[in-house]
Amino acid sequence: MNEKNIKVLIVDDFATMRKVVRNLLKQSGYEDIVEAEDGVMALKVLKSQKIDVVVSDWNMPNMTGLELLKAVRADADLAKTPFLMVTAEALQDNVVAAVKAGVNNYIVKPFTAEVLNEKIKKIMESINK
Amino acid sequence: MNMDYSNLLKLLNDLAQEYLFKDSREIDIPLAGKLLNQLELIADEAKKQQVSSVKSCTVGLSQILEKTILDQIDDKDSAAKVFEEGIHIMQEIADSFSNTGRYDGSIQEFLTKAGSVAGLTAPIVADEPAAEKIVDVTSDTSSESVETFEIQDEALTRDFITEGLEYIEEIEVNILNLENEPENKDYINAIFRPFHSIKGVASFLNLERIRSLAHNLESLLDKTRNGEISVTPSLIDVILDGADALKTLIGQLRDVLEGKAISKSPALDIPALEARIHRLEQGLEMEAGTKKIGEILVDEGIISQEKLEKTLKAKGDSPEKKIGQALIEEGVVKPKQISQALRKQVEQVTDLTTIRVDTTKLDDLIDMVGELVITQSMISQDIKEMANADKRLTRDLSQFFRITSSLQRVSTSLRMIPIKQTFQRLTRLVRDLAKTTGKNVSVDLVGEDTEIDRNMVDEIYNPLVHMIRNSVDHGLEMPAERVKAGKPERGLITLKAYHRGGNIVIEIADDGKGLDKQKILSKAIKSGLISSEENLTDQEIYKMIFMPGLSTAAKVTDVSGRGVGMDVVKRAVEKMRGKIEIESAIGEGTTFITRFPLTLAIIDGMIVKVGSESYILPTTSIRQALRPTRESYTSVVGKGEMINAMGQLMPLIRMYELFDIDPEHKNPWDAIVVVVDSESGSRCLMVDKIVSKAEVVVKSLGEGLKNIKGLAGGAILGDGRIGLIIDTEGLFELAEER
Repeated sequence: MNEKNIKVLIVDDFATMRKVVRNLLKQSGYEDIVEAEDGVMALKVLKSQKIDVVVSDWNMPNMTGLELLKAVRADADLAKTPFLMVTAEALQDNVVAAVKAGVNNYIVKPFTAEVLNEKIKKIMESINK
Repeated sequence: MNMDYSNLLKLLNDLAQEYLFKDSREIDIPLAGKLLNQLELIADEAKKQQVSSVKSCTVGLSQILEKTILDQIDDKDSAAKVFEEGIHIMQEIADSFSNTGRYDGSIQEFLTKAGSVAGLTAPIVADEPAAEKIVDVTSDTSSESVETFEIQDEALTRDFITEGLEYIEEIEVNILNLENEPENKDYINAIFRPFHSIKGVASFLNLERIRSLAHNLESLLDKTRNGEISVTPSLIDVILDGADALKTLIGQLRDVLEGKAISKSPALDIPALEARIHRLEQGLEMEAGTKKIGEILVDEGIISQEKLEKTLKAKGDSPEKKIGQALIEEGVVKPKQISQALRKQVEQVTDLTTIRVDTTKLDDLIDMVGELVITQSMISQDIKEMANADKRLTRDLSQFFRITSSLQRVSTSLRMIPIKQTFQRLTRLVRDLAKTTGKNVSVDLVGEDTEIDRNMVDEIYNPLVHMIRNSVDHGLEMPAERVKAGKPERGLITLKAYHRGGNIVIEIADDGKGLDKQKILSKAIKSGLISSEENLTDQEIYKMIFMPGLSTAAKVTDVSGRGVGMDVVKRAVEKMRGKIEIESAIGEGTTFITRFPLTLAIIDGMIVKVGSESYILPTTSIRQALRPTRESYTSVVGKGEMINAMGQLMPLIRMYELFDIDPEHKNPWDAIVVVVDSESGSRCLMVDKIVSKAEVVVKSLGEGLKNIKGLAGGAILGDGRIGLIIDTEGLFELAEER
């Protein structure tokens, strides 16, 4: 799968962070990028269009990344959506909770374009197998 | 007891299949998640069937998986091998149990291996594997507080003891910090982490008591960290007690390891402690005020204090017996009285009509409602401009507007709390002050139920303290003096609160000697604040006590009179957009009247335009707005530009220069100047035009722009555009710096 054809949804309450992630994705050749500023908005986006991978922050008001992940997994239509969780630090409890809830992978801030691309690629490969 | 191991066997089989049928040797994250969930089910089932060895294995396997997820495993091949071995051992154990009801092999070797691949442990001793040593101390029935320890790995346990005690020291230091700064999340985290580490290692060493206590404390702290429960004195107490209990447990563990007799600790009651933790977790915290059944009975006059103590003493031998039961058996109370007391006790703990809500959630709500109200006014503006608006639409919208405004009223009231608590704190202060000054003072509270924004309570406290100090120290006379003046020996301070015209008014009145105008005047002349006895009104003279460096106290006392205080009060009150007034009569007393807006969330402002930008000036600081004549403009060398307004020369501040905007007008006589008052005198702010007067919801500019000089925040205006709220004091400083 080519980067150009992968539609990425960035979920983060912090606009600057969304911009950072968007730029990193662009560096790796991703073009189809949408954004949501919290979990509630993200769910709306997910329901209205086909998203190939969600890149969501952990720590957000209203609905945390973990809650969003759980909501996605609980929704029959969205359950299979690939989900990459962004965390500020690799706190074992947080990561384990996300993994148990069915996250496809996680990434620790700060990260480079290469690492982000690698993680998304890995997720796409594993689900296309 | 007959156990059914079929479910356990099935779960283990599922796990084995999931793991062995994976495509590659590597465990990826989705697989790790599935395996972790399966291990959790197995652990629960093993616990139910009392197969503790399987449960221990699941802990080992979960640790390997968790470290895999975190990419902290160096030797992935060995990890995979150990993991396979773990599954195998668990199946063996479950088979053995279902056939014979027991398992004679040892899981120690596996646990050690799992520990080492998970990178959890200190180096494992090379000589023969540590023999399983079970120290059973339960035979010592004289003390309930001694725990049983099963030591599985001596070297590891030794490391744990040293590290664990260090961790607890860390907890103790940080909890004291937390007590001083309950809002500081860093301190909560600093306490959370060591509990978390203790729990992790203890679970691995199968030290169940320590693990479970650490776990409970950890999850309590997690809730605190998430803001679900707040940091209260009882929470701090529980955590400190928890740390102590862990220390004792670890100490006992060391005793066992060294073959010493376990030192007894009568204070250790883990179930009671865990019950306290759970109560706090559920928000049912027993505040210090919660009374015991015995105390309630004594208060009600049903039994005497002596009787209660005697019964408690007699009951000491059988702790499982409740005090109520003992009292009934002795025939001193009726069962009905006990049940009433019990009900009373419950009422103290659970107040079902209220819930605790995080204040940040409330703030968010109020903020959103503020936005809603603004959007509503935008819509109403649009409708007015539509020449032939639908009749029905207009009617529906007016209904909508009514709902929004009541929603705003209700949501604002959520954050309101009675001023009672503040008043009570102040009453205590008056008592203390009376003692230090040797005066007799009583306090009268009026309108304690008047409500005030929670966010303002802390801010108004300090100015009120200063004013009360002033009233007790300067206002009230000594008892002898009062008697001579024909007044009651005991002085009276009245604290009064009420709402008036969108403000909360707080009055502090004393029945003392009143302000001495002559004394203030001579003092003001002496310190050069005024030149001579100008023609001043009473109000103007009284207000001089708010000037820096003016204190009328004959001598400096501990309580007040260092020339600081009243000017600080005025500044603090004005910072909250409040006003302060004084009424006084010689021989009758002085009253400070302070008025604050009901909430700091909404500001009454004047919207002005500079170029294409809108700014909001707080109405409280505006004196007037005018278009200056060409003649009134002067440029003074060394002093800058001045405007002569109202017969007074005032510095001119060109807003467009400060904010670097292209203005519409560059000549003051084409533009508008707004005369703005501040602590340091008045200035003329030059703007292009005045748009309107409006109430706006104050928004923070966010972390990054928090401390910009001259700006107090932002607001969304009626037309949907953003306006910046001016902090006049800061703006003036900014202008001076240029």
